Amino acid sequence: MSSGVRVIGVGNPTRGDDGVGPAVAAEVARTVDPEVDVIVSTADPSRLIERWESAESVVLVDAMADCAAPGRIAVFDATDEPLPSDFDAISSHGFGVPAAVELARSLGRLPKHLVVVGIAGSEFEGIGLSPVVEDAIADAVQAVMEVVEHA
Amino acid sequence: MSETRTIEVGYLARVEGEGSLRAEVIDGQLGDVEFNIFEPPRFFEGLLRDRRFTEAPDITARICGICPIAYQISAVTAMENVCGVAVDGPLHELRRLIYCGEYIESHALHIYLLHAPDFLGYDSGIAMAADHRAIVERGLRLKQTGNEIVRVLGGREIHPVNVRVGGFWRLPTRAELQGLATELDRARDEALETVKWVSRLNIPQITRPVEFVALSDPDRYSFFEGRIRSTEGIDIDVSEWNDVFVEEHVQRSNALHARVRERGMFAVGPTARFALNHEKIQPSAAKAAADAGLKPGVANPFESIVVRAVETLHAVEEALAIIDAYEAPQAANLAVEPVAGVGHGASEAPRGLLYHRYEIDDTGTIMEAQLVPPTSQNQLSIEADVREVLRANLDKPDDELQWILEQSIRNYDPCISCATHFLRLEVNRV
Repeated sequence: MSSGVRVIGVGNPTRGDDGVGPAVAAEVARTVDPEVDVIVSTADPSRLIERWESAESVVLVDAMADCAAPGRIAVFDATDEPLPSDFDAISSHGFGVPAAVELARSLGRLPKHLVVVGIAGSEFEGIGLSPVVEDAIADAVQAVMEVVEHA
Repeated sequence: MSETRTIEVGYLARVEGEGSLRAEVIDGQLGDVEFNIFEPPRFFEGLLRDRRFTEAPDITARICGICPIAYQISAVTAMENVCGVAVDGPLHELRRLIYCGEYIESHALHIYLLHAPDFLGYDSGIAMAADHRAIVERGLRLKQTGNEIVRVLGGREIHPVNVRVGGFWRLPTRAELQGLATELDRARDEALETVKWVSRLNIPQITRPVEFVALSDPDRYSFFEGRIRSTEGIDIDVSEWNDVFVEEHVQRSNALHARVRERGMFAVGPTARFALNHEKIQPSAAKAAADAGLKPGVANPFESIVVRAVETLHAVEEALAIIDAYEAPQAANLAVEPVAGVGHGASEAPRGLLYHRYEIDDTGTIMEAQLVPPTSQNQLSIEADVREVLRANLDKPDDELQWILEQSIRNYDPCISCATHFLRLEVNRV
């Protein structure tokens, strides 16, 4: 495993299943090698560019809406290819994770390797994850660990 | 046989929310022009009923991801108004500071990523960034300075939680403010460069005189102080909004349309503020505006991008001045006890005047709420601009026409999600 691996859980824990990114990141932090940097970003996605600065390899963990059965996990390698457009479902003022990734690509500020692990959510209201998304956390952690181990 | 050209933009990009545009040209003559808002109604006024008066700032902040501070400040000033409490001194200044953050954040996003691509021939900020890296990086740094102010004062960047009726939940520390000042010092040059850059863009020359409306205060460039004034002589207390203006439902739109009762359309936003309040703007911003050739009361809506840049510089300077003069208050908030009655609050959101009116009872329960966002006030003016732009460009092919029409809508930085909060339920029983 190379150094400079960062796992970023993206999302808002007070917005239902949007909190799955931070929840997966918390689980990863408990089990992963301490050299791997694990952080949570609840901020404006345009600031992700700062968050992955200095990391060679980044794994973004985020919720997806309306694009797959709730709880389904999808792994995208965004290093050379844009994220599918339907990933861009939940964001403030039209600047979501895919826009941040593509802006960084235009600016030449993508990490060398960027993988996005998406978990399809079902409820984006209130505090706490829906049971089906809660049940998907272990598999999502596994997906993140596989990416980290090959980074 | 008559020839009809229809310009249709089914889904407007780079605006917040869901809207469309349809314009008809019949035998070379202008037909219907419709700026449609099909974002579903969001019922915020309805869901505020029966909630506590102290909840209004946090509920209404959810209306918008880019201007939550405007909602919070309009809400808290309305509640303090009905309860007879004046929040002044350092707490007032801290509210001005967080408002500066929102201006910097919102204006930088709109200028660099949403609007400048129109002027430079790109269909997105992302495409523009590939050719103009240093410029877009500057815009992002500037935006992040605004985000940082909102984070420090508001508790977090998105949907901040620290503004409350009576003041704040928590005061910033001296060290936090000093950290902001360091960032703002750097941002000052970036904001000045932004004014210079946008003033050199190829700005379409179209004029359409309009009545500008903004909050106006003798002592400062108003964020949420003073009276509502207009370039046609309106000069009223905030509580008189419904006496002079009216909101109407239009069939094609899920947002109410506002107009001056006696005259019709008007415009709010940066250009309106600059027209009415330019004498109060920070000196360096006034100089930058003059150097850019900007004249107060500009009737060219395409110059709004320059005014937005001037306001960004103003907000940076204002934030630095507030931090420099800041002395911590005794407490983070004043006690506010509910008083039955009607309260009015208004603030100058980045997109323009945002008016709130609440009726509460003596237990502090909200009985009625009215929220008038800037985009619903600007809708008639947006349509009139589109008509004028069409008239001046009828000889252009459809794709060029569509481009400039979309650009003219983005002159207003419309926030469609904000405009669709109302509840109007009609039941026809036969």
